[in-house]
Amino acid sequence: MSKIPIRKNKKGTFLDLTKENISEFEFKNTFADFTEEISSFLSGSSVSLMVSHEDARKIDEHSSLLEMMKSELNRNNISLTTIMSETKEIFNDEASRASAERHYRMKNETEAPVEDKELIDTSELPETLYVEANLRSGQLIRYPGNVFIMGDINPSAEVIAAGDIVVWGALRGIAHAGANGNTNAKIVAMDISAGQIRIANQVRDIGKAEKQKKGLFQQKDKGKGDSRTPELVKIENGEIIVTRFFG
Amino acid sequence: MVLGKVVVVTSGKGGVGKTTTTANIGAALASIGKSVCVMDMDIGLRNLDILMGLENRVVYNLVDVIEGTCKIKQAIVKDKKLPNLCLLPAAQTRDKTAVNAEQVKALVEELKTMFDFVLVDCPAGIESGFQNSISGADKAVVVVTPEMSSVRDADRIIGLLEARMDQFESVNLIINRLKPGLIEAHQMMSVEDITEILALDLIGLVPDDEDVVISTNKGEPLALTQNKSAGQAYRNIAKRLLGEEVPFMDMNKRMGFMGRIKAIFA
Repeated sequence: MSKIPIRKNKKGTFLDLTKENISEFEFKNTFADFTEEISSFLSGSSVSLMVSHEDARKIDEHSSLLEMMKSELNRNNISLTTIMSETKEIFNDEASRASAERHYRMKNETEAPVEDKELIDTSELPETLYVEANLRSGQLIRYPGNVFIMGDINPSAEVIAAGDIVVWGALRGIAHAGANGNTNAKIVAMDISAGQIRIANQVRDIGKAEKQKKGLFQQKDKGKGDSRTPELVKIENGEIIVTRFFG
Repeated sequence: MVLGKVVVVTSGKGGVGKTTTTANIGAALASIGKSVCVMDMDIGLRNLDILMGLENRVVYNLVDVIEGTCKIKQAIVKDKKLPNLCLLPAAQTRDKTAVNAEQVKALVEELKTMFDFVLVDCPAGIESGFQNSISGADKAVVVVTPEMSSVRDADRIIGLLEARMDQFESVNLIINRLKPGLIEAHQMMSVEDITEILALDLIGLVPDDEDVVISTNKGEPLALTQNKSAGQAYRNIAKRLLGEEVPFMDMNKRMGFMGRIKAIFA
């Protein structure tokens, strides 16, 4: 009943999923059965997946799909190396290689076409991405793990992470932790002055009400900066709360 | 043969004073004795010629030079007062697509051999006009006004400039149109608020000044008028561009008696 073709190219063995509709509910069972079947001869080796363009986008949007395929393969002792789309490799480009080496080249959204952003590396990426830079307006970091920023996130810069986000600096832009639906994800920042914070599927508008009491732009107390307590954002009782973080 | 510096004046947002800043820094540098060419890259929406009061002297323009219709020396317009200040006007009848980055780079490389400073007045936006304007620049000056919208756009621009950091010797910040009274009353972003977000070295603070409007309409850059505070601010920027250490004006001292009264009740 093996209906998923196994092919080989110069980079190794890959499973051709281009004829499959991977977002369909049925697919999970098909894939599970299939991996079990091929485990007899592919166990201990590694394979790539070839998917259609459309499915590549879906994988990027719902990383549960990727997790599912990865875990099914791993269960049968097969490791996943790359995911390719029909015409080109999605993640095996230089930017992804660089990030695997803990060096993330920031991409401006305008400069990167949709396909290039789909950096799906399953095995090589570190769990936490370190970024040593100020994220400026229009810059976007999307990462399937935790993100640690040594710098500020400026207004209208975005960080979207599947895990936690730590900002060793000021959070003024958009931070979305637990972007795949993990409600236990947290955001910690030295100073939070963002108008909006997101965790999993929750969005909270912090608003300007407090700031406006004493005038829109308060002068910072000089010298007080050092004793500032970092702030922690998490979900408690289904609501996003901002508290002081005492470590 | 001199090998000058190309300084691009940019901001992201429109209407924050890029052109005014370009004209005034140009005039200030020229009054110190440097040879300066101010170059209008806002093809299709040119203004720099008006601010310099040279609109009736324009014959050829930047696009003509790039297309080979004329020589650089034919297109350059000399200032009325300062013999070492020149304008290379933009074409008004064309648009940003009339030139490309390589052509602009080649043009400024040639201008560099003729002037101590080439000041490039960048159009608003982050599209081709911006990309062309920065293509040959050695230094960048980002103009920002104390408004969130201007700061955010400047931040975007700085991000784009930082992506080509190896090209630039320096990227500096000018905060334009500061109103000390409003800052005192906490109704306007302060210099510290802005520098904290943008994290760039300041090269100038320019107070909001009615005289700027008047000088713009007259076509005489304010920097040449000795006793105006905004004019002094531009002259200070020119000196800092030359590497001189000049202390920044105290914005609070400028607030007059009525300003202080207003600040108390604001």
